[in-house]
Amino acid sequence: SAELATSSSVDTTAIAQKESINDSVSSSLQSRLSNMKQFRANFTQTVVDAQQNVVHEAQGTLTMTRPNKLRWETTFPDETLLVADGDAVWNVDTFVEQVTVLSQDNAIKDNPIVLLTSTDEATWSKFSISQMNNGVPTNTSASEINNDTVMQSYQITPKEEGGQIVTLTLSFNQDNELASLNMLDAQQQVSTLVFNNIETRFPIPADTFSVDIPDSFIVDDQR
Amino acid sequence: CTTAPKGPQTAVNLTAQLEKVAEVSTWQMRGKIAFRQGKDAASLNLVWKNDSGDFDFRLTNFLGVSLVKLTVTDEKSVLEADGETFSNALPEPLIYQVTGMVIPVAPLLSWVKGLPLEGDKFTLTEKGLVDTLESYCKGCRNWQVSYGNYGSVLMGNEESVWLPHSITLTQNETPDMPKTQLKIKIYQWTL
Repeated sequence: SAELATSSSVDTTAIAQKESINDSVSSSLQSRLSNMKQFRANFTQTVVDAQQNVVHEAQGTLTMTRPNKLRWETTFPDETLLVADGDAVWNVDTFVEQVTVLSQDNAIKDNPIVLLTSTDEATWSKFSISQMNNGVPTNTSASEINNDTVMQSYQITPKEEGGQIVTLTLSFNQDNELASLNMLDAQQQVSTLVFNNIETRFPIPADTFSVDIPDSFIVDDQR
Repeated sequence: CTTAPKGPQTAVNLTAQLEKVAEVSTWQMRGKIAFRQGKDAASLNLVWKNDSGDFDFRLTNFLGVSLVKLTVTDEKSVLEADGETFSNALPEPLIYQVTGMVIPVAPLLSWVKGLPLEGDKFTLTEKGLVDTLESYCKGCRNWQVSYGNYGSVLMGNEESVWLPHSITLTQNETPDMPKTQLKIKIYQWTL
């Protein structure tokens, strides 16, 4: 009936409006990330379960350059290394003496952090982005938000269900640096990385995104 | 890396140590566990809470994402993995059903503390702590367990007990099963 038709048309404009906010927030995040050509910082990671019990703690260094390159290295409690070199993701597991290799496109679904260095529109379109002020979700359009809020946070949610990570939240400090990120998973477990010694302009050592594999390690190439 | 704990400087009275370890029925460990069976291997961060046989065993990857959650009580065992939930009366068949691995859960609750079971053959370190252990088991494949990095851990009653901080369990290859190995590195015991 006509009445049904009109109500459905109202929804489409609402959706269109929501889409436009989503696009403008997404482009505001992408522009913030695009002027972060390089990023290197030490991180302290704390993982807590739904009851706030500490499940894991680690310290390490995260290095990222655009496009598509990332190095996640922990030194405490032990050595782990993950390198995304633009084509493949190398997971070097010293404890079990094995290197697992995945193609980078497959890795993004369960590891949206790799998204931070992606400039590919198709990849970004798989995520919906909302903006939060100091952790309070707002649906006002990007322009209305005053810029002196201390922490500017963005929530990245995969549009496709079933990935391990439900929400990735990025928080930028007033120097426009990525100050922390946290990941909520399907079991309500939250992994938080707080960054310090943040550098966004530094000479990149040549081997930063390459991996040398000790001979004794088994290579499990899943590409 | 975390510094390995210091072992005992003087010889330990084995009977007293084993009695004390046997008393420890409520514990929590945080660490890392590696599984290797043939060419398949993975290692994950581990939190294992045990309360007199009811236990919660959780595996998390380096990103902090929970991959496996196993909850066991005397009524039933529930395992959550890959977004699915499986349950069974007992943990052993449940773990086998989901992972294909045969894990001796009940014995493991003693072995991880460095406590041999009735009939297990074991050797001692020169300070008198259990160094290696061979499980006694009729009609099943036995496990070899080796211990390292013993450290003194406070118990509730101001006493302390020696507990291993690295454990390797190996089951040798048989015609129908490849060699299986579990390696556990413990960062922290809490009693």
